[in-house]
Amino acid sequence: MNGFFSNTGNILFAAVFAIQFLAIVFTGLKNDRRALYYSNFVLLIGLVSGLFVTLSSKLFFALPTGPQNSLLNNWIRLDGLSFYFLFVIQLAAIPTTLYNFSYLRHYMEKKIGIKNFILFYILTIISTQVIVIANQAVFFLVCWEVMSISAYFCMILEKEKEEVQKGSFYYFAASHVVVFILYIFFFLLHHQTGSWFLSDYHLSFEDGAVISTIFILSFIGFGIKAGFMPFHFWLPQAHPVAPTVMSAFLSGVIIKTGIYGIIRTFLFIKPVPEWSGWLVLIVSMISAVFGVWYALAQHDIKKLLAYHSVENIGIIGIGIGIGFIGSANNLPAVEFLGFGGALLHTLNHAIFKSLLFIGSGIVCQNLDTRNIELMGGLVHRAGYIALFFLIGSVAISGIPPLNGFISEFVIFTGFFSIAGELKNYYPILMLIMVVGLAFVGGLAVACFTKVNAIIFLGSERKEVKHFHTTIYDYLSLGIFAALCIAIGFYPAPFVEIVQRVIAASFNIQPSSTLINMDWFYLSAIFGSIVLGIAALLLVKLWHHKKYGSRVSGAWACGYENLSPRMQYTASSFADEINTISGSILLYNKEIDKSEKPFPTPLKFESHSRDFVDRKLAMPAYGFLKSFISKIGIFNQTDIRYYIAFILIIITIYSLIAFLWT
Amino acid sequence: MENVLSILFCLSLFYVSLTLRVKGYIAVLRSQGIILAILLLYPFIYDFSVYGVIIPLTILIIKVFFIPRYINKIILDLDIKRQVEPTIQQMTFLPLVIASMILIFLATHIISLITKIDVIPFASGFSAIVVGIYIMIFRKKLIVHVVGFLIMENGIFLFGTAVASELPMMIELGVLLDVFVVVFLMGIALNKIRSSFEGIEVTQLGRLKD
Amino acid sequence: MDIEIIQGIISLLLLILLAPLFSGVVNKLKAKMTGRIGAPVLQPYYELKRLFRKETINASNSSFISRFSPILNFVAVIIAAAMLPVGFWKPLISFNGDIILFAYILGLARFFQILAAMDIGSSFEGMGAAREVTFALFAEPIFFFTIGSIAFVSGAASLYEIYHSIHLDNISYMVFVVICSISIFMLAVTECSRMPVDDPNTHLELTMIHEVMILDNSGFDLFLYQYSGYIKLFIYTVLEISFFNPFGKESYLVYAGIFIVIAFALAFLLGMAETITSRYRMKNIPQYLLFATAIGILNLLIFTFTQ
Repeated sequence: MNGFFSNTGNILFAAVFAIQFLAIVFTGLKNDRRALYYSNFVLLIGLVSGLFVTLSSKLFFALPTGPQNSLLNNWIRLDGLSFYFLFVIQLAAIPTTLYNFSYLRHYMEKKIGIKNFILFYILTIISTQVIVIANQAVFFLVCWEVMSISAYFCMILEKEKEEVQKGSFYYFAASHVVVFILYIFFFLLHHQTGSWFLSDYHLSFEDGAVISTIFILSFIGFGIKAGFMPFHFWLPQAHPVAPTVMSAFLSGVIIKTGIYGIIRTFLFIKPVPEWSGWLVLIVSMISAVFGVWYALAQHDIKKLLAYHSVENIGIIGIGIGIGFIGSANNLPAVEFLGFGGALLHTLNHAIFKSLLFIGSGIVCQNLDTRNIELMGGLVHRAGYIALFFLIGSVAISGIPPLNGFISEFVIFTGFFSIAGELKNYYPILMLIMVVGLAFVGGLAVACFTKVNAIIFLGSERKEVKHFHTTIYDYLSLGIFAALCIAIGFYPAPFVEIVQRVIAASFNIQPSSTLINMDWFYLSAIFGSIVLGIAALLLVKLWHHKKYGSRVSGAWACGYENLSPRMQYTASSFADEINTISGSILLYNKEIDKSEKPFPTPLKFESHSRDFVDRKLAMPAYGFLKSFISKIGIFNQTDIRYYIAFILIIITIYSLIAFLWT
Repeated sequence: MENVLSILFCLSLFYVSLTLRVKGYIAVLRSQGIILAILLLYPFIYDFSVYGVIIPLTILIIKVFFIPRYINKIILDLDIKRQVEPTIQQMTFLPLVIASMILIFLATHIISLITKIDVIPFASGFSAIVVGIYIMIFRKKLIVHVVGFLIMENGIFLFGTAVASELPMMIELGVLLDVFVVVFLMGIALNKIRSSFEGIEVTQLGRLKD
Repeated sequence: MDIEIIQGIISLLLLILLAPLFSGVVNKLKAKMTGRIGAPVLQPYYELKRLFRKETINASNSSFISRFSPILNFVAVIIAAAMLPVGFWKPLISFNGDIILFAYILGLARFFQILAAMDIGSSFEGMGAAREVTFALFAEPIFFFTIGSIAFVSGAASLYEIYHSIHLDNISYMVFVVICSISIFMLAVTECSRMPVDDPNTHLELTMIHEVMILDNSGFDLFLYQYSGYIKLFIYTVLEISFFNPFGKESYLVYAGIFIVIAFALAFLLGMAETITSRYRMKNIPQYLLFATAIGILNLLIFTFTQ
């Protein structure tokens, strides 16, 4: 505590969290509406001032209002990585909280109690922020648990629905497996170093087996949270049922804590062995390709976006994998590119995925369905929302002028630099990775042209009486869209921040590969695209004046009674790509082929099921269930047996621990 | 030159894993025969000997003219449909082939660091063996199985040239004769099966057991 | 101004102005081969002029996207053209990693073209868009594999340096480059909707890919789409021609000669393909594209292990 209050930064930093905790108090208000407005408003103040304090730290602007590096007896430690993730969380949380104002009104109209939701929402946000700055293992685990459980309580806002119970249980089970693995992970670290502080964990290269175990534990534990491919199955189950605000926050921020954990582990054990880099790279590539491929087969907009989270986590993982390979071969240039790409994509994904989730939430709420096959033509109802959603889609597809391209560009450059530095067979493997990433980009284009076209373009498939939007919707979407554009068109400052994060907290030889890429050149090109478009728009206006322009019906071979249901549907749009890999996607079509003399209504269905969920997770769960039900003691209905059982287990564990030491 | 021929050989493997027509398979057999003949003939351009020309010529005659014609004849006689009837999608088959080929090349590269072999012909031959086995696994038609077997044999041939630059001639001829006899027997067997069963598919051979 | 920038601007202008001419040559040669007289070589220019003078009609259900997309398409294609080295002149835009920008900027054009097609809300456009997106998905790896493998072999990461690194000293390298150029040709056929993949002259909406996407555009919008289509074809032609750069090292005159000869040869090949082959079944096109990728992979494997 010594000197804690001697620094203005420290006081401000404590004040930020105090304000955020204050927001909880307001959820106690009796009136739902007041509780929402007051607590959210206070939370917003807390987050904005938090962002201000974060930005004034040494990492960003180095103002005197920045806090010191180590606080509260080193329980909280603020290095570059922590600040960066704090920045990401606060940046993404502000517009999401803004959207809360508009989103929860809908529930208030339906007389669903929202005070609990707000309480746990605030708790989730606070605990997520604390996780990335916690420096004490037990403290970290407690915060982790608080985050997981409060996110779960947020998720079950509509708890009477059966799909909500099922989907959120997936999340609950997955988070508990994570916590269990993390316990082992931290105990092992403590056993090796004899310390509970994260900043003391430095394992030397000699104890290879320990490093391998720790790495595997961390990759599985944090990987489940992040949603890498074999462990992703909870994401597409949990996201659709969660309230939109929560799914935006879950996808944009909470799964990033998994990424934070993996990078943090890297700092404990570096330089890592090379196979770990390859493991991360290959698992990530699989996540990226199949995540987006599964996404293409979905009709549920939120499920689709959830699979896109798997894809983007894969892309972040690819960056981390490149960094690991660079670290194993002692190539700082490669490390900068790999981790730089990963960190940039973390920021970018937090921005555009929150944007897309909020956009989809607005649409779903107005149409009262999540099935995109029932949407359409919304661009004529809500043009700005369509525009913002389009910006998010272009960004997530990694297409040039926006931010998704910037991070993918860094990762591509990382591949090129590995191939250039390490000869032998590396070029081939790297080229395959390059092609894989390009393929992911192509699939993302397919997926988001589908989403945009089916939801917003064409004509309305389902009658919408009134499309309701509020100022908060536009505000939150607008902030995210502006960030997408800003990072895309002027990446230089953001790249510099990432460069500083890596240089400050990764302890590797400085290398300026990341900052020396032609960022201003890129900005100039993007600027010239905008100029060219503007010029051509003027020409177009002039042309319309001179030669005229009008509106007429679309070409339909002379058929006049076109109905909105005759438009191309989402499933037919994606069908050609889905059938190609039908066996992996478990994609099947059921067509009623019975031919009768007179035309009768025909039926067509197409389904896609998750391979991991159907073939691995559910069978394993079924096996476990049948195994446990065979043991007599679990079949007791009396609670006292359970208590006795827990007591026995605790005794055994304590005995083992006692005898071991 | 060997590398160019090996590339062409591998291209023919890609083609065979892509095409759906039995005719394409036979064309591939022909072209592979020509490639192998040129490969064996190539060293003798500078150093001519009658003895060395015998094997290439025999290959040319048997593999390019005799066996393809014979298979064509069987197809015509038995009125086999022109589609190969794969059991998995072509779009899954080709990536499978590509992936195995990459693995084989990498493995061969590692082997070549230990022992002295020519990487490219060795790996191409190996890939041909694998592709031949894949064809036999993932295709229904019996006649296509024969083609798969022949592709596998071509692979062994290329493989042999990579391991030892010159195999004893008698062994080569023996292998050729062996193959020829196998194809011949298969033809006769197919004819006989045809007379007792309706179609010629592997799935129906299970009925032979009783 | 720097001499390099002037050269870059000149080559960009050449690319933009000569693009319709190349399409005219292809069509003329194709007509000759099928025994017709064919339209004059300058026909594409006349078509563009005609389209420019027409009134613009938009479909009733369309939104801002279909009005915006032609412009974006045109600008994106021009930016891509500006990255392309013509001969030994440095292109206007050239930096490390510009091959990624090149591929992705064409992706930007495609993204908006697909959206504009779906904007009409008609099944025809939807069908075209679905096909375009499927085939583009399998076409992208070809580009990355061929250009990327040359890049990885030479260690360069910009189109200009990649094409500069091509040399004639080593026979196995020459085989490597020749096979790369075959892959690029197959890619050009796909991207420019030419014969074995797409029939540019088909008259049935159900069999079209590219044409059906711009079915409901007219006037200025169609002008921009057509023009960017011509430029795109010429971009891929120049990508192909640049493989023959080393032959024209001596002087500009020799290079210009080679440029014209190869361009004619490619036009001949494209015309030939359209004369003698029929369009593949839609189902088989991904296989054709995957085959081109497989060639690229094999080529790189073999080249790496002969070193």
